[in-house]
Amino acid sequence: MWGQYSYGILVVLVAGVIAFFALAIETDDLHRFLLLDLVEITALGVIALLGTDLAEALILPGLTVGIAEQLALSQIYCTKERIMQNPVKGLNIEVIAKADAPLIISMFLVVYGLILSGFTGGGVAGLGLVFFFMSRGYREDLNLLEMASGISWALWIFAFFCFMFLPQYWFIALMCAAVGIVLKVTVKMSLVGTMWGNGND
Amino acid sequence: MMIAEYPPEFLIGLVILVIGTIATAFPRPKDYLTRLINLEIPGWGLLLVMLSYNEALALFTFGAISVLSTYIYVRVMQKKAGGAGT
Amino acid sequence: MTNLAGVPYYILEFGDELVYFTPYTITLFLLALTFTIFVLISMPERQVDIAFGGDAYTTKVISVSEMRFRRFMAIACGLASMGAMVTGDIFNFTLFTAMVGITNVGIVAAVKSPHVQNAAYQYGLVALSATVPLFGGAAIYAAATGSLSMIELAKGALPAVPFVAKAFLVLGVIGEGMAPFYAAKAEMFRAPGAPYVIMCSLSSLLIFLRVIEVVMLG
Repeated sequence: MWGQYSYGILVVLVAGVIAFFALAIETDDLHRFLLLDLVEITALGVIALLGTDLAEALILPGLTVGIAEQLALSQIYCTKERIMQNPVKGLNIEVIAKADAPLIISMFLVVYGLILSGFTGGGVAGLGLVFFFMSRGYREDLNLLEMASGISWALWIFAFFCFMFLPQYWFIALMCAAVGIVLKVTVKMSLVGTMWGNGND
Repeated sequence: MMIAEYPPEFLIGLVILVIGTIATAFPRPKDYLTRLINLEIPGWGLLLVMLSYNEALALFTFGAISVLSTYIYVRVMQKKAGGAGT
Repeated sequence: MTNLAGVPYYILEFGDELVYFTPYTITLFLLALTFTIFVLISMPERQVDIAFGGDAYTTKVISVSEMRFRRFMAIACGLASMGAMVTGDIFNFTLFTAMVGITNVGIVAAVKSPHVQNAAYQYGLVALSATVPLFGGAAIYAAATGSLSMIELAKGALPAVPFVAKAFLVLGVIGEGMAPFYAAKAEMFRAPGAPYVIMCSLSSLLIFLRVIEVVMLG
């Protein structure tokens, strides 16, 4: 009665049980936080084993929710242990700080992300920007970035309403949605990069 | 189990997923950095499973998000170590 | 099982994700909406200090601007509960439940008491590991029946949903905020800041009421 599931689901469920067992016998808070990522990987394994296109549509929001919870928990952990004001050293490796290689790699990632577009493209482009900010220690005007991100997200929502109520204009709605989501995810991830570079939020 | 039915990357991915889970659940030596590095192993197995089903978008997004989550963990670990990191 | 919650009054279609209003879901939706409006228009409570040895007390008025972030998180939690009450799609329901978990952590995040912050961290750990059976249950629903829509599942024309999937869904919601995992959440309530903190308790209650209807549909 398991439909399309193969025997792989048994293997992934066994891995999940091992991960939960390790989580249960652990007592240190930061170790528990690391084991949460392991538990999340087994959850994604169960969804990926569906094998249809629906699996991709279910994995992407699952990843977003997971990363949001990890961000929130990391901030709570730092506040709880009262270590929030400890400095975080950037990478002072010379080839990253001075050479041209990080710039070229970041440009490849950003261009590829823009061509790929959609949520995944935004993720890849944002990763390029995060790498760039991390290597150069850049300081950016956060308010402007937040405003751009918010407006592009509103553009995406507007494009979805256009799909539902005015389906004859589907092409422009598709272009708006792709551009909107790419900009939004790119800006959000590059904000994480500036958080790393400065050392405090 | 009919091993001939499944493509090889699917089986290898599942094996690496289980081995990586055991390695992360019981690391030797038991400190934060070892566990963080061992977290890459089941991630790699999951990527191979996604590859065998041709779920390309999920693969890319999981790779990008996994890097971001490593940043978050390293930041917390550096703050806990009192700022004496790399 | 036909018409567990009454005949739907109205079904709003967003493509193939449906939002449906039956007497049951309308009741829960109005409850969540009313409480969110309360959170929106009410002033924060005054903190009372009692002078020992007598009946005198002093109250300290807290302005809204201090509680701005907490109020925003409480409103977001209310919106997520409202969405979870009327959704017609299993995966939407799991995503709204996860969002309720995140906003609950956000409501108490700014409190300075170490006991409350420790409880919030432990609750965050439990809520995050509860998303695993939630998403796993939704994936098994999709694999066994080929559909994630509650309307299609209620018609009875699809293959039966395995019991494991329903058990996973209920386990996920219990981990989000029901006994025995409720202990950390209860410790979180000791934070000052009513009426915003009460949203934590109300949201988990409403989600539990809805998940019972969801698993008895298929």
